[in-house]
This record gives sequence, C-alpha cells and structure tokens, in this order.
Amino acid sequence: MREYIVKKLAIAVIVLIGVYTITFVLTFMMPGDPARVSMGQFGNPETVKLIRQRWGLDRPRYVQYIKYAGSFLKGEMGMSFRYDRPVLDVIKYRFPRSAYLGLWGILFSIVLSIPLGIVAACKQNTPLDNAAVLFSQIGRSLPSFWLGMMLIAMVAVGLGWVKVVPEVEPGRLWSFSGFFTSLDDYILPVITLGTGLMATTTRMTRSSMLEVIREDYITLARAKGLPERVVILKHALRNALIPVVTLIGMQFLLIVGGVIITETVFGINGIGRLYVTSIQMRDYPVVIALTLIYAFGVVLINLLVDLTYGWIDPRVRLR
Amino acid sequence: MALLEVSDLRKYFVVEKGIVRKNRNYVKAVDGVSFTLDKNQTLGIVGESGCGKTTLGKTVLRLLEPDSGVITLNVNGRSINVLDADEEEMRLVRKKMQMVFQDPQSSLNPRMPVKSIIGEPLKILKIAEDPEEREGIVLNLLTDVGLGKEHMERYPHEFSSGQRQRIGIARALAVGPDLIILDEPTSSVDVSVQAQVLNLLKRLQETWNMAYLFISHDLGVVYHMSDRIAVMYLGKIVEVADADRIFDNPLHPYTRALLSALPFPDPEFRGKKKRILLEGTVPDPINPPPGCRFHTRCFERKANRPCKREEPGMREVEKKHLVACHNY
Amino acid sequence: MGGKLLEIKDLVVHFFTEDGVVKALDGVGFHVNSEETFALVGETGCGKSVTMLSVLGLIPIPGKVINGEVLFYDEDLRHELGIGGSGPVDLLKLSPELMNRVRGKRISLITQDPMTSLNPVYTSGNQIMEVLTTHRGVDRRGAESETFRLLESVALVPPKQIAEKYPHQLSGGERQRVVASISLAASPNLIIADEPTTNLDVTVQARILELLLELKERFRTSLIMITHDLGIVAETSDRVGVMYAGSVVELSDVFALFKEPLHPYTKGLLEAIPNPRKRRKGPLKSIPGSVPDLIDPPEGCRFHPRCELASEICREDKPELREISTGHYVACHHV
Ligand SMILES: Nc1ncnc2c1ncn2[C@@H]1O[C@H](COP(=O)(O)OP(=O)(O)OP(=O)(O)O)[C@@H](O)[C@H]1O
Ligand SMILES: Nc1ncnc2c1ncn2[C@@H]1O[C@H](COP(=O)(O)OP(=O)(O)O)[C@@H](O)[C@H]1O
Ligand code: SF4
Ligand SMILES: [Mg+2]
Ligand SMILES: [Mg+2]
Repeated sequence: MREYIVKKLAIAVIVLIGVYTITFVLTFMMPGDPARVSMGQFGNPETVKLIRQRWGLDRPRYVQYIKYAGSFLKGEMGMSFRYDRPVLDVIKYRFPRSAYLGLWGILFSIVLSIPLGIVAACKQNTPLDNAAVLFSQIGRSLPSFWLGMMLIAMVAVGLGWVKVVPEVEPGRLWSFSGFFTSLDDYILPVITLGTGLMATTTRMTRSSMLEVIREDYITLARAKGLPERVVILKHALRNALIPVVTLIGMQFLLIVGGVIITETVFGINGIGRLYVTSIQMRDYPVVIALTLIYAFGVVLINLLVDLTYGWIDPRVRLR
Repeated sequence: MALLEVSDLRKYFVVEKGIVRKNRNYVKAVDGVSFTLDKNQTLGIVGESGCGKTTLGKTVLRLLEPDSGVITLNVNGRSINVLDADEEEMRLVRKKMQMVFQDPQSSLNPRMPVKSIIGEPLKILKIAEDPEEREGIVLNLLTDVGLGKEHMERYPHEFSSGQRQRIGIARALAVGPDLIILDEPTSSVDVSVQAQVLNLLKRLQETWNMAYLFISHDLGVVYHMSDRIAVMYLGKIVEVADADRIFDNPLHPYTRALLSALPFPDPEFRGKKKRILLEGTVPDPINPPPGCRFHTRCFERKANRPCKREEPGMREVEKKHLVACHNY
Repeated sequence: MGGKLLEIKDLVVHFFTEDGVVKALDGVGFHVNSEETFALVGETGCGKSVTMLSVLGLIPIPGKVINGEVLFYDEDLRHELGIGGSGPVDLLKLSPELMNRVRGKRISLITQDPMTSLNPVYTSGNQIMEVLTTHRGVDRRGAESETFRLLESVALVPPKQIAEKYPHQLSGGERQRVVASISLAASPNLIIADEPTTNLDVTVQARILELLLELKERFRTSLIMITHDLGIVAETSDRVGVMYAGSVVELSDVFALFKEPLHPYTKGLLEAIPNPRKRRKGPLKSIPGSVPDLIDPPEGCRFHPRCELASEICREDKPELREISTGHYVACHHV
C-alpha cells in the first residue's frame, strides 16, 4: 500500500507540472492584455506600460513561466493583478466558503441518498421505491439555478425563514461548532447543490444494492438466520458501496461547476465567483493558481477513492 | 501415416503481476505436449479445470500462436507443417481442421442468423461463393445435425443450449473437415440432452469419416467417445493409452486418483471402490513445481526416485501405453 | 435412521416475471427422515433450488409460494420458538423473526458456487463467527475458539490462519469447506447442500463429498444433497427424489431406484449417462426434445411431449405420486 501511495504522489507531481504548463500557455494565449483590461477602455498608454512592467508582463514568457513556478513553490502563488495582493490571501479569504458549500452539498447528498437507496432497494417495487425512483428522476432533471431561485423566492423571501445571502464569516465556518451552526445560513445553497447529487447517488445506491442482494453470499447470509438488518447493513451495503464510492469521488470533482452556479445564485463570494471574474479580468496568477489547486484536488480525491476501495474491499488491499 | 502429429508443443501466456514493478510471469498453459491422431479416430483429452485443454485445442488450430513445437497435418497426400504454412497451405489447414467451442453462447455471433453463421466459413474459404448454393449446403448441414429449414433465419438466442451446440457443430462441418476439435461440447447442456449430442457426434464421425480431438473434464463422456485417451495435468500429458487400458489399468498416480474420484452411477458399488483422495490443490501454473509436476500431491512418491528434481519423460511402458512417471 | 424430520406437501411456487408467470414448482412433495441423506436429483431448472429456498423461506422476488406446507417434525421446536399447540411446525406459517431462529440453527444451507457464496469483504472467520454469536449466544472469545474447532473439523488447518483469510485468498475447495463449517456452526438438524460440488474439479469434489458424509455422521444431522449427477446420488444417498419440470416424479430408496427405475424419465436419465464400467460404446439412449418452458408448461404430465409411453390421459391429467412397492413412489399413469 505504501509504495502505491508513493507512486501516486510521484504521478501527481508530474501531472501538476503538466497542468501548470498547459494552463500557463492557455492563459497567455487568451486574447486581451490584463493591464489594458484593468485600466479600462480609455486607460493612458503610459500607465498601461508601467503596469505591464510592474506585473512583469514585459519580460520574456519563459522568465514569467519560471518566476510563477518559483512563487508557487514558495507557496505564495504570485501577486493578483486585480487585488494587488498575494494570490494566496485572495484565495484564503474565499476558499473556506466554497469548500464549506461543496463539502456540505456532498455530505447532505450522502446522508440522505444512501439510506434512501438502501430502503428503495429493500422494498423494491413498493410505493416507497417508486417514490424514490421518481424523486431521483426529478432531482436529476431540475436545473440548479432554477431550484436555487425557487428556494430563495419561497423559503427566504416568502417565508423569511433564512437569509438570502449567507453572512457567516469564512473563519467561523471551519471551526468545530461553526461547521454545524453555520448550516442555518447555508441551508438553501446546500440543498440547491445537494439535490442533483443526491438524485444520482440514490439511483446508484439502489441499483448497486439490487445487484448485490441477488448474490449467493446474501442468500447464504439469510440462510444463516441473521436478522435482516445485519444482512443488509453488514453483508450487502459494504459490497454495494464499491461503485457508489467511485461516483462520490467523481462528484467531488464535478461539483465545481455546481458550486459556481450556486454561489452566483446566492451571491456567495467564493472561489467559483473568483474564478469567473479572474478569467474575465485576465487575472492570470489567480487563474493559474485556482486551476492548479483544482488539479491537485483531483489527484488527492483519486487517492482517497483508492484508499477507500482498499478499506472496503480486501481484494484490492491484499492482492 | 497419422493424420495429425503434434510434438513438443508449448504455449505460454504472459501475465503481469505487481503494481509498481511489473513482473513478467508466464502461465505455462501448454508445456511440451506431444501426441498423434490417426484418421477417423478419436483422441480424448481429460484433465481438471485450467490444465490447458482449451489452450491445447486452440494452439493446434493456430487460433493461438504456439511458442514452439511442430504440428504436422497429413491430408490429401500432402504433409503440411502447420506452423510454417504459406497462405495456400493455411487455407487447406482451415478446411481440414475445425473447432467446436466450449461455450456455444459466446462463440456464435448473436447478431447473425443461423444461415450466415454456418455459411460464413463456406464463403471465407471460397467453398461456395454463390449464395443460393450456399443456402442449399447450409440446409443440408442443419438437417444433418437435427435442425430444420425453419431454423435458418433465427438468431442464436432463440435456441436452447443443446440446439446452439448443434449449430456450432454444423458450422464446423460446413467445410468438410477431416478433424474436428471438440472443446467440452456437452458441458453446457443438460444430462438428458447430452446423450443426443454425443450420439449425433458419433453418427457424424462415421458418415463424414472424421477424426476428433475430444476435450472434456468428464471421464465417463471421454471414455464413451474416445479410442485413445490422454490425461493432462498442469500443461502436460501424463499418460496416453487406449480408452479401455486407461480404465482397466491406469498407471500414472494422477490418472488413478482421477478415476477413483469419478462418482459411479450404481449404489451397489458403494464402498467397494478404493478411493484415492488427493491432498492439496492444483499448483499455480505460473510456478509449477520442479521435477514431476504432480509430486506435491503424489501418494506414490518413492524416496529413491528423483521426482522432486527431474522431470519424468514419456515412456512407452506397454505397447501403445505411454506414461510420464518415475515409477515406471 | 429415525422418523420423519421434514415433510414437504404439495408445494406450488410461481415467479411473476415480466415475461409471464413461471410455474416453477407444481405440487412438490417428499419427506426426509432424521439422520438420513436424501438426494434431490434433476436437470437445470427443474426446481431443486426453488424447493430448498422455499423450505428456508427465502424465495426471491418475484416468487411466491402459492400453496403447500413445509412441516418440521421436532418436539422441541414449538417450545423453543414459544408457540403453543402440538405436532409438526409448518415453516411457511412462521413469522420472519421466528423463521430467523430456524434458519441456520435448525436448517442450514450450503450453496452451489463456492466462488460466490462467501462475502468477499469479510474474513472467513468473521463469517463463521456470526452464526455462533447469533444462534448460540456465545461471546467473542468463545466464538473464536469454537470457530477454530469448526475449521479443524472440516480439515482446514491451521485454523487461525484460515480464519484470518479473505475468500479470494482461498481455493474453491477450501471455500466450500468454510461454507460447510458455517453450515455446521449451530448444530442444525438438517443441512441442505445445493449442488455443493458442481463447480469443483472431480478430485476436489470427491474430498468434499467424503467430508460432508463424514460430518453428517459425526454431527448426526440429516443431509439433503441436491445434484444433477446420478453418480453422486448413487454414492452418497439413502433415499432419492427425482424431479422433472417442477414436480417430484419418482421417490425411492436409492438401491431400488437404480435397480428398478419406474418412471420413464428416470429410466431415460439412467440410460443416457455414459457408463464406463459397462463397457458399452454404442449409441446412448437419449430422451428426445428438451426441458419445457415453465411459463407455458405442457398440460397433464409435464413429461408427456418427451415420453415414449404418453397417451391421451397423460396429455390431460397430471399423474399423482403413487406407492408402487413399499417406499417406492412414482407419478406416471403407465406404471
Ligand atoms: N489469454 C490468457 N492469458 C493468460 N492466461 C491464460 C489465458 N488463457 C488461458 N490462460 C491460463 O492457461 C491455463 C490453461 O487454460 P485453459 O483454458 O487451456 O484450461 P482448460 O483446461 O481448458 O480449463 P477448463 O476446463 O476450465 O476449460 C490456465 O491457468 C488459464 O488461467
Ligand atoms: N428469481 C427467479 N425469477 C424467475 N424465475 C425463477 C427465479 N428463480 C428460479 N426461477 C425459475 O424456477 C425454475 C426452477 O429453478 P431452480 O430451482 O433454480 O432450478 P434448479 O433445479 O436448477 O435448482 C426455473 O424454471 C427458473 O427459471
Ligand atoms: S404419465 Fe404418461 S407422459 Fe408422464 S411419464 Fe408416465 S407415461 Fe410418460
Ligand atoms: Mg477449457
Ligand atoms: Mg439450482
């Protein structure tokens, strides 16, 4: 297992260098000069030139390539053009919100969809099962911006139960108690983000359970006289979770799009919005930094998924 | 002259193990197999799962490329070195040697009607290029294997497993072969249907004058079908003899264990048979034991014999009865 | 050998599938005595597994027991389950909770394919131990030493190492031994072995069969041996039920069955298997046609389309099991 992790990390380094290079090239191929964009249409050419100098945009590309790489290695990730502050600071301020939203979105989905999927599978073809199937059909086809708007209109504005825009400070979100209490503020964005995820996870859990329940070892477990609860939770679930883990791992990656939409709808000042505006404003250092963070996340999550496999399935662990 | 002569045939599969450093390992599926098969004769190949029966069959036909060995096919007064055949010779080989596969489910193309499945080899080997002529031949073949005109347009999934096996047989017959390799032709059919298929095969063998290489793990079935029987263990033939000799006087310890393990359908014999129960399981074919491959499970190993070190060669112990064991 | 232990009466099971109703069991009936080996033999799909799953109350969706009784003759069972009355207990009428106390404890199962019958994510020891803790109320420590004892009794040594292994680290024969030890764990009165050796090699099969018979003697249980192999029937059983397309067509002592088979199907089967000992190499006698589709089974005797003796009455009336000589029953109009 250890050599396996080491190998994965080595690959990660190569991937990150590749991603850095590609993002660097692509970003600088984007039309539009950041200095000019930041000064607006009528900026003074002299000032623009000064700014270009200050941001190092007048240096040869390879120098910039190396300079950025160096600043990443040092951990500060360069200076943001737009905010005139280290990129790290810019991200540090916003990242907690997005991560909070994303993590809760997935937790919300897991906590509800796995039990729902199990129950649906155990009560196959009953009204309960049909309802679960219908729910997951609907959940998957609801556009999340629409769902978000509706929730704002009905719950926040109409009933006035929660605030429209979450106001908790980023720092508090990740404190032990804040992680749960802040959910009050974030409940609507979390539901918006989580519903679509939940629909797919429910579906996958249900079909995976149905498949596992037909296996011989489940028949044998029942023939042993084990209570149904044990048969399902001990014998069936763990096997059924194997494909579900893959799905959830993928959701961690695909969720980025959902987070951007949700942040936009709820006016949350998070990474999603930062990403979009940074691209618009040609804030290269931020764009590159965010892309690299994302790539690192991909690697990390793949590793976590593999570790989870190993934990669930001894055939992976003890080859 | 024998119809088919195979000598020292080897087929190794490369398998990779390990996550970081890929270790190259070899599954020695067929490891130095020699035999001959005469015209109109049946040679049975028996052995337990994974001993290399299917691989042997496919390698003889060159559906799998062997790693070494010589295969000679004597047909039409010619002697063809199968592994070194040019295109024209290979076409003749394909006409003269056919195979019926272990799993009729997966060996028949599900998207082709029976008519095309059976007609395909006729077309490819340019035996009947005119569609109408081909259809006539296919119909005759279907009748021969006990199916009819009404089955021509149907697809494989519309048949029972017994019928599917008949289609596989008809396809093999289509080119008029001198030898058919039958890989477990009845392992997927029910007992009551097995007899139908076996009878059909016997009848066809007589009318078409064919030799069979009959592969099975069922000793009873192999005995019924074969003139001679070869017993395989871990990629090697350990004993070859006439079918009756194998049953009356098995010599190799493995053959004896195999025979004694065969459940015998008569309760009167219960307890009267001496049972030989083998220890352990078949070793991993990637690392077969050195010396005699059977030595790890052998119950007749004698201390003064080099079983653990030296691989025993095939010796003709009695007339036409060959054994690879240091005890003989 | 004692009196009746299990009796199945007129069992009818249907599967309500999308293609139609599969009439899988059509009035199955037979009984098993205590401490005997009863073989249930028949071709694929004739209903052997469904019969046994009904006994255990484990018919999968969309199957339903339409009719019948599964009687368990044991004086203590009523008392143990806390139900009043007297006489045999009809297992089909027990609540799921009570049935859980019969499964594994009184009747246990050995499934067909050792490759798939153990849960891949738990060690073999874990899967044995859970039976002990469920039915015998032993604590972990006790369960552990009992597990080692069970593994030893099925000749898996050293037991500690085997108990720590996951199924994929064991060979087919070893797995089937683990399943056998699971079936023994709660000292049941009856073990049902559903084709326990079908997917094993002959040399391994021989040892597993030997083991099962020995365990049956040692633990004084009854054994139902389900198989399609008449050789296994002859070598292992005391009494036999021959099944065809959802019914028991012949029921007999094993010696009588092989010496004097009565039903045309049994006769056909016996003649259809190649028998090396008889040195016959001529054409085998074969049964024409193939097993019927159970969605639309033949009327009357389900064997009639393949039977030489079939007449008008066979096409109309389903023959009942009749006792021809002591203990030898057959369901055929022409015997
Ligand atoms: N394509 C392949 N790659 C690697 N190993 C293979 C391949 N095909 C077969 N083998 C291995 O070669 C050995 C012989 O296989 P083969 O299929 O010839 O056995 P067999 O005697 O026909 O068995 P069975 O009775 O199960 O059909 C086995 O160990 C098998 O796992
Ligand atoms: N889950 C199921 N759904 C539908 N039909 C089934 C199911 N299980 C069994 N059957 C049908 O019941 C019949 C008997 O099956 P089974 O008892 O498994 O046969 P076997 O004698 O081979 O054990 C078969 O016709 C089979 O198709
Ligand atoms: S009842 Fe009729 S059809 Fe059925 S087995 Fe007897 S003779 Fe044959
Ligand atoms: Mg094979
Ligand atoms: Mg079955």
